[in-house]
Amino acid sequence: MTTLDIVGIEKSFGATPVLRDVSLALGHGEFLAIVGPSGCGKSTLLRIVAGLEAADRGSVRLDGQPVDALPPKGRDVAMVFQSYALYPHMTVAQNIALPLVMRDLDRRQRLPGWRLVSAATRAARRRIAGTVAEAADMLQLSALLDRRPGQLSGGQRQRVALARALVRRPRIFLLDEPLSNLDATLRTQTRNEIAQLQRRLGVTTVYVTHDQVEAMTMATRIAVMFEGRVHQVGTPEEVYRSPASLAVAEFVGTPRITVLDARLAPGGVMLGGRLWPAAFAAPPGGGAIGPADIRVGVRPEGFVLGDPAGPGMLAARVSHVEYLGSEGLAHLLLDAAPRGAVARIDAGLAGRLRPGETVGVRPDPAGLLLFGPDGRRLDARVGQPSSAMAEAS
Amino acid sequence: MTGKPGGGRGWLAWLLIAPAVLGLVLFVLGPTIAVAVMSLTDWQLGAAEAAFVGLDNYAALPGDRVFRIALANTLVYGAIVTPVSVLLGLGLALLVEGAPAGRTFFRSAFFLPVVSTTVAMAVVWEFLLHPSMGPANLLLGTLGIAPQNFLGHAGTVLPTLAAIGIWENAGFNMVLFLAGLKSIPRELYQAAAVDGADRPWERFWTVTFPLLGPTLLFVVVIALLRSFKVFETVAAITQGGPRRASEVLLYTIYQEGFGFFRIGHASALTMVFLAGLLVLALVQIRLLDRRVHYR
Repeated sequence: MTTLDIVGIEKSFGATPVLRDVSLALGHGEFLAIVGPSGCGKSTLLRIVAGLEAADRGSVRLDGQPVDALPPKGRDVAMVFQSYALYPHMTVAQNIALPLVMRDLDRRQRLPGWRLVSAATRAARRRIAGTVAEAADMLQLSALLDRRPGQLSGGQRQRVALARALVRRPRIFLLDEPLSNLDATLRTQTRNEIAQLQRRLGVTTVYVTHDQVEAMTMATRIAVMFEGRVHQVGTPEEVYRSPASLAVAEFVGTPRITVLDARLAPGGVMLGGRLWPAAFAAPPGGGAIGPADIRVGVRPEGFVLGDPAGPGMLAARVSHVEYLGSEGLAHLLLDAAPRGAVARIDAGLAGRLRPGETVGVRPDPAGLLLFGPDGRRLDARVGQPSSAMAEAS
Repeated sequence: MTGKPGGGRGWLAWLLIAPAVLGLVLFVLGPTIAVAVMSLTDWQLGAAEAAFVGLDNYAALPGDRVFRIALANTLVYGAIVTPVSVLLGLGLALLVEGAPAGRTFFRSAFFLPVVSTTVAMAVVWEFLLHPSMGPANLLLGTLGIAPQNFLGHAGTVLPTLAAIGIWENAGFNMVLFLAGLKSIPRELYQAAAVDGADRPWERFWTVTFPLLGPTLLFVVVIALLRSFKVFETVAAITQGGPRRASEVLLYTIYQEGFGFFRIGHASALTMVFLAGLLVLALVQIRLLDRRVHYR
C-alpha cells in the first residue's frame, strides 16, 4: 500500500512544453486514470513517475518520500507498456520471472547452471518458480508458460505483461495504454479483468489512456489532461456531470456533448431566441454580466423531443437516427448548434423517426452546462425559459 | 480476361522477368555449368581440344599438396578473421551507438576500409609493415623489440594477413550490427530498466544480445564467406609465399587456371570451393535461421 504524490511537474522537449505544473495525489490502493487526447503529455507523465524520464521541475513522492533521484529499479514500480515490451527470446515463464530474478538473485546466482552448484540458488529459483506459477494462475496463463511471446495472441501477450508487472507486488502499477492493441471485444473483457485484479491486489495504480470509456469504467478517479495541463480530477460521475471546462465536457462522454451557441443577457442566458433565467454562483466575466458569447453544453440525455409547436421547443431537423435496441440516438440539425446535436431517445421513437423530419427539441434546464468565453465552466443554476419571452421573440 | 489470375498472360510475366533471368543465366548459371563441365576435362587454357577425364580432377585433389595447404590456410584465415572481426564489429557498433556525439564520423571512419580499394590498401599495409622502414617496426624499435619481417616470415605471414582482413571486415560487420541495434524496440530497454535490469551488462544480456540474434547469425555467415574469399591481399603482397605459407584457395585457383593454364584442375577446385559456400548458406537457412527468430 503506497501513496503517490506528483507535485508541480514541468517538462519540455526542446522548446516544446509537454507538462505544465502537473500535480496529482493518489491515496492507498487508488486507481487513477489519466485520460486525454494523444500528445497531451499523459504518457510522459507516467514515464516520469516510473523514472524513465526526468522532470525539469517538480517532484514525485512515494509514501511522502521524494524518489526523483532514484532509477526505476529503486522505485519499485511496475509498468505495462502499450507494446507489452515482452522479451521475445524468453518463454512466458521466463518473462514473468525476470523482475524476480533481477531482484532476488545476485549476479553470480543468475549465471546459467549456477543452481547445479549452489543449494541457496536452487531454493531461490524454486521460490521464484512458485511465485511465477501463482501470477500465471491469476491471469490464466498456466498452460502457456513454455511458449514464447511470438506464439501468443494479442490478449495473451497482454496478460503476460500484466503478470510480469504484478509478480513482484510493486508499490505502484503504471499502465500505459495497455488495451489499445486489442480488438474491441477483448478490450471490454480485459477492461473488467484489470479493474477487478487491481481491486483484489489493492495496489495503487496509474492508468494512462486516450479512451475515455476505459477511464470512466475502470478508475475510481479520472484526471483529464489537455496540452500538458490537468483540467480536472474527479470521480467518473463528477467529471461527467460537472466538467470543469468545455474541453473536458467534449472529451468525456459518448456520444459527444452537444454544444449550443448562447449569449449572456440581463437575468440569464439567451438561447434559441429565449431567455433562460440563470442564477450564477459567481458573476461571470469578473463582475458585470456583459453581452458575452458563451456556450451551453447539453448531454444526449438532457434533451426532450416533442411537437415543434409545443412550449419552449426549438425546431430541429432530423439528420440521422441510430437505433440501438434498448434506446436510440437522434442526430439533429438546429440553428443554435453549429456542429449538430445528439439526443438520446427511447427505442420506440427511434423506430418511428425518419431523417428529414422536423421535430421540436427542448434542453432540460437542469442539465445545462454553461461555459464562458475562455472555455471554463460557469457555475450557474438555470431555470425554465418564460414562454412569454418565447412569444415576444 | 477471365479464369485464373494472369491466365493467358504468361508471356508477359516471362517478358518482365526476362532481364533478371538473362543476367542470372549469362553471369551465374551459365559460367557455373561451364566450370562444372570443364572440371570433368583436362582442358588447358588455349588448347584446341580437350579430353573427358571424368572425376579424375576431383580424385587428384586429396593427394594434391598445394590444395591441402591452401585449404588449411583458408580455414585458419577464416577461423581468425571471422570471430575477431565479428566481435570487433559488435563492440564498435555498441560504442558508436552509445556515443554521445560524432556517430556519423565514427561510422564513416570505421567503414572506410570496406569502400577503399583493397589492392591499394595492401600496398599501404606492405609499407606500414616493411621490415626496415615500416612505422610498425619503428614503433617496435622504440620498445626495444627487434624488427620483424611480418609478411616475409612463414610463421607470421598468415596471422598478419588475417589482421589486415580483420581491419578490412570489422567496419562492414559494424554497419550490419548498427542496423540490427536500430531495430531493437526502445521500450524493451525501458521494460528491462523497470524490471531491474539497468546496468550496462544486464541490459546487454537481457535485451541487446538476444535481440541481435538474427543479425549475429547473418553477420557470422557473411563474415565467413567474405573471409574464405580472401584474394587481393595475397595476390598483391605475398603471392602465396613465403614457402606457400599464405597460399589460399582463391589464389591457388587463380594460379592454376591463369598461371599454369590447368583449367580442368582449377575448375575442380572452384567447384569444391562453391560447394563449401553452398553448404554454409544451407546451414544458415535450414538450421539456424529458425532458432534465432524466436518463433
